[in-house]
Amino acid sequence: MSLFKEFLKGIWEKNPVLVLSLGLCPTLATSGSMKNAVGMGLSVIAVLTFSNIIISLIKGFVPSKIRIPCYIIVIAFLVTVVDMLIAGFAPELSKAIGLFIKLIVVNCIILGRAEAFAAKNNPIRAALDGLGMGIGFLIAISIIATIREVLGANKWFGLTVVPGWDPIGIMILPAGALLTFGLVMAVRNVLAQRRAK
Amino acid sequence: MKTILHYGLVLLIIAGVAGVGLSLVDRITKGPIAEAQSKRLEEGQKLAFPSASSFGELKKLETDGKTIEYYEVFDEGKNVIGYELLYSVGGYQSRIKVLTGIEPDGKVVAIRVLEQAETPGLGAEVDALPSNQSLLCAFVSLFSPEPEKEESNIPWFQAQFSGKTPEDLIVVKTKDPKHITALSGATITSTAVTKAVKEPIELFLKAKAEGQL
Amino acid sequence: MNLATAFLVIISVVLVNNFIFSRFLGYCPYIGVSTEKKSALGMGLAVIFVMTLASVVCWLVYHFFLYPSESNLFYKIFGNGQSVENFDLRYLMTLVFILVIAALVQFVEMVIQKIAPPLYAALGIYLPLITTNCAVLGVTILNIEGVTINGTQLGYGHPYSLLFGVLQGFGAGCGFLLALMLMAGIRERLALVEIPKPFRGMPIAFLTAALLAIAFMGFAGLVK
Repeated sequence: MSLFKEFLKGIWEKNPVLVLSLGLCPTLATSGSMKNAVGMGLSVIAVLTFSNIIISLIKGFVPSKIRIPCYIIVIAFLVTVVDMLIAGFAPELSKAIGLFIKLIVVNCIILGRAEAFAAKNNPIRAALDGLGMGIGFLIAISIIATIREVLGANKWFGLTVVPGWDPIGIMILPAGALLTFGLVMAVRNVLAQRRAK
Repeated sequence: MKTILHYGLVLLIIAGVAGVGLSLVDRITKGPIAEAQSKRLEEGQKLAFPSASSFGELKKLETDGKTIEYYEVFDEGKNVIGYELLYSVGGYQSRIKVLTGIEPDGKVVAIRVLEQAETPGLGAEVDALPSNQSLLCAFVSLFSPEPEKEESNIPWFQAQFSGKTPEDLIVVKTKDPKHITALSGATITSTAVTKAVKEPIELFLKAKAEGQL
Repeated sequence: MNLATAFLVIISVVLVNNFIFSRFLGYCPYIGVSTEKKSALGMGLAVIFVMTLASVVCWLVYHFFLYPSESNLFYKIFGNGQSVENFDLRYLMTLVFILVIAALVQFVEMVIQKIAPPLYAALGIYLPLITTNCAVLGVTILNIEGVTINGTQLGYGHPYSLLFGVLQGFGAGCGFLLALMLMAGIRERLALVEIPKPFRGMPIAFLTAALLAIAFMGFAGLVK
């Protein structure tokens, strides 16, 4: 597979959220507003790319039986480092997205890609895979967040969309997240089936 | 046996490298993080009592088995014109730390939520800035750059507390300028913030009346 | 903590603040293992077991190794004359907790395999999956934050209450089991229904979960 395709697959064909069903918890939890969703998406892109590179580099050194704990250490380490660096050197950014960075430890996209891809490929491919998957995650979470924020709060990036309209409050609540997610997945399935024909 | 040793060694090396790495990063970032936090506190202090000219040292007050931290607020002539109370309570899923500026009679001047990690989109909206600007206006203003209006940097939920007496601090679910209107879908966070404002004021006033300060 | 409060902690974490329906933790196994009741039961029981145990072990680690206090073991051994603050290792919390959970899961797996082969046959395949269940890490971290039940603060402070941690860990596991069993019961029936093609599999599972979440909203306010 060409390097470009490696990058591209995370966006549509193997979108981590909509197709592989990875990283569901952060997708559902932070898609209440566009601002949060973008913050989460960008943090995931950063951590996923670096974790893929590191894991690809150490793959020969780690025995397969204890690989999962090793990967988890690497991920937790990276996440904590990113968290501390941002808190120390970019306090304004940290105030906005600091919370999501901690959540990335429990984002199974990272471990999923480490296990399924980075552990079997060279660092360049792994980095591209991480970048593509990260962008795919950002796109998916942005779509869901747009739907939820517009319908649930009548806002987009905190700006009112239709002045004077009373929004559907449930879309911003957990039930709305699940509902939107199910529907977006179904729409993607329809589009994928059309393309296959 | 040999494999177990091998596994243990690999795990130990990775965990060791990660641990040492983290402690190094912690050393580098400890200073800046503490600095950023104290800067945030200073900004909060100004916002919670805009008319103050200086603040006293952090003092502790223990009453009814609870600890309130507070600062005295001075005007230019070093007269005490009020207090700022620092108090934290448990919110929906995080600690909420609030700084409340009060006049000597207990009337709230302004409040500032210093720390919270509530649910994004729900409880975290305590920090949401007021914005009535519509998407269309924002889009139009992209193409016709006009001098932007100075936007208020006080979140609307926190702005509600200004000028209220402790008795008024009741959370209601419908819009009511006399009380505190809850964030939609985040009653627990709204109640917690209100408690973090009301409880220390009441304890503080009681202790003050008893001459405990 | 009296019996009534203990009961409220459980009710709160099982029904009101259910990890699945209101905290968004543990979705990957929730959607992955909820296709049939038998495996859902196995997974749920394994999660209860690991969550309770992880709450205990993480409390011990936090109390004796990470938190800077008189009882910190590093302080006791190397502390002569130094300030307690120098022994603040809380920045290692995420790393250490997730390692503890991974080690615990592995250990539990080995022990069960040795002493209770029938139980292992039932639970065995679900145990490794739990390491990556974010609800387990979630509960150990939430234990430190504590919770407010009917106006009383529980668990917060130092040392945070071990009893509270255990109760919340156990309760969160029970809540997970409940959510999983409800979902599995529905999905077993859904398997027999003609569902529009684009909705088959994941999408319908999420729509079902949405309806369950709406039902669980009815419990809000049960525990203040």
